[in-house]
Amino acid sequence: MDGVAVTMPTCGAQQPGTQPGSFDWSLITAIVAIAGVAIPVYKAGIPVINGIIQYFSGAAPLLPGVGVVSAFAGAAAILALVAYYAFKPDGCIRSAPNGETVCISGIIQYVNATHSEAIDVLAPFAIPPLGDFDVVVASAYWSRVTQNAFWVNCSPAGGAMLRCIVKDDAACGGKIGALAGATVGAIAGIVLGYLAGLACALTGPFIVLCIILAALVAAAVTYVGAMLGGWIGQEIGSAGASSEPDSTWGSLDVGLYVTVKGNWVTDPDVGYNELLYVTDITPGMSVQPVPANGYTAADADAAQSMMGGDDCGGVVLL
Amino acid sequence: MGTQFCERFGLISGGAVGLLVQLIGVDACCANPPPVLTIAQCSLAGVIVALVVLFFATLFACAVSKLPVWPVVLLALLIGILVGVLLGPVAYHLPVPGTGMFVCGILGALLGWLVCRVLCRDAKWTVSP
Repeated sequence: MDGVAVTMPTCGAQQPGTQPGSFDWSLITAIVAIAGVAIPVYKAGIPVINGIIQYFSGAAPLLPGVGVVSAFAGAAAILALVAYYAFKPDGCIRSAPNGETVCISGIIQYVNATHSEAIDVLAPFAIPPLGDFDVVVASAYWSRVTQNAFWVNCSPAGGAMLRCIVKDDAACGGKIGALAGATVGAIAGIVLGYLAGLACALTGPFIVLCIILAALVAAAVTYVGAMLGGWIGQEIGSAGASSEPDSTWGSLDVGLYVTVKGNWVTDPDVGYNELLYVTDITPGMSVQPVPANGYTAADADAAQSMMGGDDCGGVVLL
Repeated sequence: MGTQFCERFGLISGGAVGLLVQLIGVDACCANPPPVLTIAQCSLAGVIVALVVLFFATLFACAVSKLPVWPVVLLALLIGILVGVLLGPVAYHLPVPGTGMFVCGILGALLGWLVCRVLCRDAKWTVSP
């Protein structure tokens, strides 16, 4: 059972004033990095790739050259996109946000499946969580919903809810595989992009179309490399036994009383709301029928009492 | 959607316009002298680059982030045209190769932010009584 807070949370906005926006430095960093590397690439090409171009075309690339640098820009843009997802702080390559391991219990009000087969195939580096579910928490856990939050989501009946996220086991493998595939694809892409630009015979102002063509071909080949690498990575990532949340996810439904453990963070990307990244789910009884206006904390408290408590163990000091 | 979304679109399209349009004006491409473009031609080249890049960015944003299609398409169109028209001539006339991507990226982000500020209202959070 949790500690201190017994005041019923106010639904909606928690703090006055404008919610702070989070500035995303990753895109600026990518632009600066690509621009910085583009200058030496324009002047001298890329050593290994110069050799590959010479091997396939019979002549060294034209340098200083527009063709090589525009192909490089296309490939680098896709590499930056894949790297952006791969290096998100989600515990895959970079460690997850420094949250707190907590335990809560309550009744599931909403279940939202976010997994997409289309993204698994077309963008394996950006696989979303399997889904999320909103738990109307028992009153003992209200502090987990309100602390540091700018907004408290509630059921239509006013029960304060905590969003719980279930990660996809295959996501990490997909990211790492896509990064490796994009790197290999970038090398092939720059070569093919350069050759495509070279074959483009437009002059004058329309030369911009040749420059775009070189960049697009390089980007497309790099993206295909990312897809292929991501598919292989997904297969490797899901080859072992499923994690507990992944295997329990399919059985979750509205009205189920659950005890949930996980990493509790305040996420600036989701409106500075409190989120729980789930590491363990213990399903309990089903509270049916689902009330027309949804569940309240009193319903969660009653279910907790009927279950003889939850699996959260002793007092957790805040 | 907050202004961050528009800033990203502006940054991406501005960076692309800055790099690719600036490349038109550099020498030593395929044994042809670089073309001399008028302001209008620079803007047209900028618009083409910006719209091509934002087309793919919109496709990705709507598919992966599940954003609503038509508002995103309209914002992309508006930002692309604005960035292309204004930053195409800027990129073409920048003297140092490579600076176009950075300078026009930042300017594009500012233009994107401006578009959102004018067209979209930010949520104001107030404590309920």
